[in-house]
Amino acid sequence: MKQTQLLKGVLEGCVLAIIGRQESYGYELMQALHDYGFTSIVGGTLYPLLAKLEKQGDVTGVMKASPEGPDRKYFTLTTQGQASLAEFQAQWAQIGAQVAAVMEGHDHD
Amino acid sequence: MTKDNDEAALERALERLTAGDRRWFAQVTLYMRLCGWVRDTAAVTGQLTAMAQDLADAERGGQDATAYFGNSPRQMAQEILSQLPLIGWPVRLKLFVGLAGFSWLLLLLAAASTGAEMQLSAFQLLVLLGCLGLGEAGVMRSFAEMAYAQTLWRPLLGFAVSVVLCGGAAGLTLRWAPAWAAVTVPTPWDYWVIGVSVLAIVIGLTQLAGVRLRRLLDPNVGLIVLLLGAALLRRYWLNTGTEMTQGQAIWILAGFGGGTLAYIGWQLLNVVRAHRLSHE
Repeated sequence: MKQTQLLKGVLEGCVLAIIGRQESYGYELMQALHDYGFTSIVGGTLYPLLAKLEKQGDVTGVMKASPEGPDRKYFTLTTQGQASLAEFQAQWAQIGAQVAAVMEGHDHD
Repeated sequence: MTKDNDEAALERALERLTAGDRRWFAQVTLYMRLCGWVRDTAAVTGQLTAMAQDLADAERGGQDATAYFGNSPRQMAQEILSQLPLIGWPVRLKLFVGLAGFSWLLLLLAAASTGAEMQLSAFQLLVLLGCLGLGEAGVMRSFAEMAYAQTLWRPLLGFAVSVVLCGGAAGLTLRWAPAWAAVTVPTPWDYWVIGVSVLAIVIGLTQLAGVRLRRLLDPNVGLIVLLLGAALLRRYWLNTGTEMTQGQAIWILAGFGGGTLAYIGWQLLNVVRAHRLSHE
């Protein structure tokens, strides 16, 4: 199975989790994803995802002055976004446990 | 933020980029603006500004636009546009009025040239509106494709096909479609209808050009005045039972023919200008 297919299912939750820790702008989010090992993620994947999250109401984007000077678009989690993140975390824990059980059974076989 | 402030913020963000990345971004901007003509302008500009600012940060980190955004900018633009809000109702209304005005113009031209009394059909007007709406969507898509076209022939072909299909459908409608829900306009009210229509369409299109087509000068106003002037003359001859003299024919041919050639030339110039903008 290609990594991209697995990635599509989890990237949204990961982005919500990173924004949930602190408000972030696009480049900062990209750096964070790369630091966590998602090195294949490019802007062509991230920016449509951010637009989708904003449209869904999970995040809000606000232009703010940055320490370096130019305004940047910072994303913060909304209440709905926090609920979406909690739901993702619960689903991930459940699926993770189920996959681990299958793999453990496969190893025993 | 006002529209001018939004554009100024985008310009400032673009100035921070390298020359190569500015060219890359100009293509994305052109594509998103033309493909996203039904999307809220402020949302499109805001999205582009945020991306340009992040790209400036990526450049400081040693990346260029392709490394940062990937190798599929068109797909990225399409996916972003699909998430942005649509234009508001006031702008939708202006666009609709513009299309309706042009449909009315075509209906008027056809009706003014036939019959002792002018007949205007609501059914034909609605069909024309549909044809022109589809034609405009096709034309805007062709212009958007120029952003990434290495040669002009494919987008020009798309433009020509949209115009021919739309124009052909409009012509067939006016020639063959049934004149259901028609209103007959007797003399001298037909002159008033044509005259008031000229004023209304010119004022309406000038407003629309100010909103949506500011960067590409719109010669449609001149073309409309020419066409409705011809309609007025045709109506006069039909009403008075007279025919055009040779001298009148020469003047009309020179004016109308020259005006039409100028219109086509101006539109082609806009196409070339848009292509140059995307490849600067």
